[in-house]
Amino acid sequence: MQYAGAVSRLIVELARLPGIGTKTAQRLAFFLLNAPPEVAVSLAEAIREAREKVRRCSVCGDFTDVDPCPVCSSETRNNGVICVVQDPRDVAAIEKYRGYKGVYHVLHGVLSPLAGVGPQELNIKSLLDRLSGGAVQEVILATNPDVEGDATALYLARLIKPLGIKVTRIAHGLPVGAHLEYADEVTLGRAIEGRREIE
Amino acid sequence: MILKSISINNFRNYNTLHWEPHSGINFITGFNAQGKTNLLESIFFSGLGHSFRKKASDVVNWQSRDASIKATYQLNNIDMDISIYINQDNVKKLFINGSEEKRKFLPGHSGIVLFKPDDLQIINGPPSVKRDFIDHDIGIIEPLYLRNLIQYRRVVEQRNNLLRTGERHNDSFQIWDESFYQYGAKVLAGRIKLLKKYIPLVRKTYACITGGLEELEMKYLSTLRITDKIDVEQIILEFMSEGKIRQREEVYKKQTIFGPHRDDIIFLINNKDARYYASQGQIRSIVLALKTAQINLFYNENGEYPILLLDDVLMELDEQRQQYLLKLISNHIQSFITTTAPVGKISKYANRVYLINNGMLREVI
Repeated sequence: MQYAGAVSRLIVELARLPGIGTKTAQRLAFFLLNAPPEVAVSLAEAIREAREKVRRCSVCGDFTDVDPCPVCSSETRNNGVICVVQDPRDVAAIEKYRGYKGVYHVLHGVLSPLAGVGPQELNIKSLLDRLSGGAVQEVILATNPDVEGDATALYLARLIKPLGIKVTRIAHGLPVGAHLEYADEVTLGRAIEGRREIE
Repeated sequence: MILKSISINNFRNYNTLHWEPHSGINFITGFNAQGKTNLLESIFFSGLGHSFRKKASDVVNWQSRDASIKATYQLNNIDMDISIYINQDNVKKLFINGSEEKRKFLPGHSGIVLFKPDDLQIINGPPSVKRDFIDHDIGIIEPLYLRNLIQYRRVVEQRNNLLRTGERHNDSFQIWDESFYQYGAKVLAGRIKLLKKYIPLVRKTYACITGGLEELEMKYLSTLRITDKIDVEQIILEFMSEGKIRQREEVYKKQTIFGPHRDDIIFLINNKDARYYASQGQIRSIVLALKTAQINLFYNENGEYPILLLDDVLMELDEQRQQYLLKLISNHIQSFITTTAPVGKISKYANRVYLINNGMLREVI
């Protein structure tokens, strides 16, 4: 079905968003058209403002509206430990844990030849710049435990180790509070591979 | 494992059917195109959550919008209720004892052995069919192996893409090489481990089937040099040296040309390659040995016999081999055997004989 020019443009734009198909885009479009004008205007304004103000932190690459970001400029964070993640969402996830006092570095992706992503496409050069200062003692590689995440971690480890900096990989295995009997074999396998001696 | 009952709705040519099969040998007879294979397919589906046919999208009866299968299995003396709902778009919902579950928790994994006419391809078909048989039908006993295999395939895909775009000089290629070697070595080691368990069983059953007159050899032909000792580290080294040798060829061909995704399996009868020298009967005997060995392997792993589905293959065997198989399964393996009719000496093995006529099932013996 054909809609008037403006409506169909709105649907096309909404359908560009991840997880939104044409049907959902139509629903959203008609919701916005039927709602009071303020709803649509305030959404448009929020998107425009976020886009204008939010940029990548010049230090870690995370999204921020002040540069450097609050984590990078904090007095209480330990600048000697850098946790490398693939996505700004991962920063938010680790921040929820509250126990991590180091800083971050966001790669904005992982190595994936199929998606046309090589080392040049990732935020790696600025990571190496940060490490050349000599103040960093440890880099924690926290990319996802899948094929691409593991390859990216391996690539970074190869780059960083020669600099004499400790490189660690986050542990994989059982979720806390889980029961062994409910864990699948693969997770259990990883947990047993990564077992640790009790001190 | 025993199938106690199955109810199917709007599945293929069935409208509704409730069936409580015998825990021994069930013969399912009927003319062509009456629904014999469809019934086996529904059992397979209830145990594994997918079909054994290539075109599985139209399991829903063409006159209805959705199909369902409900089955009760007995596993280690405990009943397990399975319900599977399938809609027209082939989207499935799956319940075990009333709660929604993932497919991998269904009881059919290493609990169902299927023997269908095109299994002869395992002997004389392309290497991919042989690898698939080992990876999926036998590999099912090692979930970790299957996971490594999926990741290995992903790595090969990524690496192929780099080769295709000619970016071998790219400094991340080394990483994809390393991932390829590591996952490749894990898959290869896993496969050899599986075969070490499986091949002795196959050889033994083949010797029984032929009354000791013929000797079967099942050989794994790898694109890498492998020794009898399975050591992942050792295989990684082998990958590295092979990688160096093959580098130029890979750049030229723009794809990954060695590794477990290129390996082959051959069968030798009295030292002669079965692909070229075996008769049709001998090929059937090898497949029979493969399937029988699979039953024994599953028994060794689970302590319980799988159920056996034979789709139109029994009558193709000669009388001696039919007897061998039926004797083996009678008394402890629940079997579902489709044929046009059980004749002669084999009918005495039947615990029940059913007749299917246009999607209706009737007990005749």
